[in-house]
Amino acid sequence: MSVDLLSVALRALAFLALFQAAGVAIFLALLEHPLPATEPALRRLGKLAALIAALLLASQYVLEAARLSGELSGALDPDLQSVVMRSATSVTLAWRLLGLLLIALGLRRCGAAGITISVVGVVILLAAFTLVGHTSNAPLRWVLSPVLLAHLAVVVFWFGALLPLYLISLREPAEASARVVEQFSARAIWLVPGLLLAGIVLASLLLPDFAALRRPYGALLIVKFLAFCTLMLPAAANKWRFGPALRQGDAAAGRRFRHALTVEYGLIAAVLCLTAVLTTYYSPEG
Amino acid sequence: MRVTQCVIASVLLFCAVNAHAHAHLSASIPQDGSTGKAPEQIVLTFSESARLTAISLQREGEASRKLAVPATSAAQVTVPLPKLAPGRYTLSWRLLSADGHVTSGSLHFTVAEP
Repeated sequence: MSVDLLSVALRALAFLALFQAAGVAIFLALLEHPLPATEPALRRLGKLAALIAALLLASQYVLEAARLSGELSGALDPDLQSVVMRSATSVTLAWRLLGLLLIALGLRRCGAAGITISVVGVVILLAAFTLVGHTSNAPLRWVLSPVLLAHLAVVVFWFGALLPLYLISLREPAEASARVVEQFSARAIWLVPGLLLAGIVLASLLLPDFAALRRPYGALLIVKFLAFCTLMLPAAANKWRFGPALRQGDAAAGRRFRHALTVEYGLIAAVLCLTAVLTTYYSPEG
Repeated sequence: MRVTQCVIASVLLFCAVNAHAHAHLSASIPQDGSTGKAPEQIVLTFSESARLTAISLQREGEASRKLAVPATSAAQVTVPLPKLAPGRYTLSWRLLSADGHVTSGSLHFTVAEP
């Protein structure tokens, strides 16, 4: 397996794990009513995701020197490791690990203190994305950074809520499940268009011209946009059909709801994997 | 008037952002696709200062050989070449951009029979 391909795989898995960890933290922070049958499992899920994300990020960091040389053996080259250590990558890794640590620590504690710690962790984790890549050295980083943060925050909110919603619909009484789904949908209806808007603003600022849409970076952005549009189908079905049907305690509605969540999860995971490819191999101008 | 201002601001915004990106090759000696006498060195000019971390040269039909890379970041890099026999060559490199991204590239040139 080529070094770049291995790096893409690690990056994609790290994205999934870190967005899951941050998403659980945000989901629990926004929860308005206690869910005794599910909360302990959600905390375990968040902590496990944070641990996996930290391990994947560390592995990806070690592999960065190999990418600099183009060969796996480069990972053991002290000169290349020193180059990586003095790059933006190491600063980003340090902040991401701190963010994940705070998320895990916050999820260990119940109450306001735990929520505060984990939300601070999420903010640090997401802010670290602005320290590397185009956003980090663009002259208009003061525009790009907040837009990127908003974009990522909605991904965390959406992607991170899918597994919790799945577990809640399995474990909690129909009334409680339906209430949580309604609360999630009420927020999502405002936030999800923001995800699209932020994505369009980022693309318009980063792509040099319309012709760039025909090059690999632009083409992959179009695929991301199409995946987003497809994602609207199961999301809309859950909001207007399966979610409300949960309140009746209909077992079939529960199954359909979870099936739609699985489809949403798969599509967002695919988009995150695509993002890993995009940010490893291509740049907007080439 | 307000619309005009918005359009001008958007255009300026667009141009300003486009000034910065990943380092990519903007010129080289010898040029990509060129044919000529054997060069004694290769000069690569990138769009911004970058740290070249690996560079290799491969003659068609032969194994690739690594070349020495400079230890500092620069927008223009000169790499001495060994004596080259006639044939078609591929020069490949990897570099670390200022924004932390690793990018790679390659160019081809042909050394003509004397």
